[in-house]
Amino acid sequence: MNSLNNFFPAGTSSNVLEIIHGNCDGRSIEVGSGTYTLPNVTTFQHLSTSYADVAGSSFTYAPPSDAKYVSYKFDFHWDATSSAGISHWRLLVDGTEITKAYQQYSNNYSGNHAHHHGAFEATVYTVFDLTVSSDSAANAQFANWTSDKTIKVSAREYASSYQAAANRVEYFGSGATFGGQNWIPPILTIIALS
Amino acid sequence: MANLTDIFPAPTSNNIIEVIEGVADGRTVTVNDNSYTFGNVTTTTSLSTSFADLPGSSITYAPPADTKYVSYKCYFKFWGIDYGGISGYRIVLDGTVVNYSNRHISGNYSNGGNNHAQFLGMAMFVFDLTVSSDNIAAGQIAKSNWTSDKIIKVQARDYSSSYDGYVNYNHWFDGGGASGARQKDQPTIQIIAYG
Repeated sequence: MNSLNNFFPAGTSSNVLEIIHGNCDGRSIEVGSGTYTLPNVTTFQHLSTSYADVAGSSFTYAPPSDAKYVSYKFDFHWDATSSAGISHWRLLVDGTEITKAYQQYSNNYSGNHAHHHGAFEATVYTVFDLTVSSDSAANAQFANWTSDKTIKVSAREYASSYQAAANRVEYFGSGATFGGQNWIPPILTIIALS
Repeated sequence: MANLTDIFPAPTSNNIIEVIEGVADGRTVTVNDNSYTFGNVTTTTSLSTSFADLPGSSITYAPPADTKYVSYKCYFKFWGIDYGGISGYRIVLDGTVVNYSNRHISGNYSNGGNNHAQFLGMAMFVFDLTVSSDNIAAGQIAKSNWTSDKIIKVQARDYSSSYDGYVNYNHWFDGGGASGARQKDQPTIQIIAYG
């Protein structure tokens, strides 16, 4: 049996096809293209001087067939744990770095490596272009994104004297932490646009 | 003559039910026949060592019946006026603290009176309404328990009296001190209900 919409197409209310948006606490979100389980972050993560995946950032996705753009945004709490916390944050899609999405986060250097008070909300973000005619993962361009791709953030410290952490709440009130919780889950936002 | 969509409503093309967004300048926003009035921030605020409401962050909201998630986001301006201005922020839903929203922001320590750190702070949480029972500390509230207005807001405090922070404050402008409308920085609030 035909649908009424085959004869009277519904007006598009916007060019947003779907949004997957949530705290990385293991929740499952159902949207038009399927059900997605967000990572479950239960602690903070110290960086090292080698690149490592950032907890909560990994998301595997195949957009709806009529998607022209896919936005990926990873919001996390950045914390300096030594000095200015100079740190490097790369965005990878199926293992290839998207070079223009690179972020370097740091705070001011006080002249003393023991001063590491810097903390703020940080973001790694890009918008994939699916309107192109050929693929260039390094430029976030995909002509044929029809199966799952994994997007994630990989990070490291500048040096062992400039240390940083992801998802860490180091100071909250008197007593450093609140309710014993010294971490905060990051937030993922995926938007498919037509 | 009636429109076809009066009889057969067009389906929503995505999972966004509604977006309420505005600056805390006292404006009223009407969405789906409901009106929401934002706070009106007229001055800057120095934090203290006790949690207090962050002016302009509060909104009273009841999500539509078919909502599965409610995203709350508040952007506010931070200034670390003493030793980096270490300060704590938390989201409160109708009087209950959402522990998973606890965060601190700060510039780096300076002992030379160099209190220059200024940037946008952000408090955000996506409430999960698909659960069967409430755990508001974790941001979970059953939809059946959120059918009437609840107040969502941010509370903030200094880490201690030695580390003072300001909110809603631009301290400098064009090589001098900011004043008037440029000095007070009104927060921006966004609510998104997802189906």
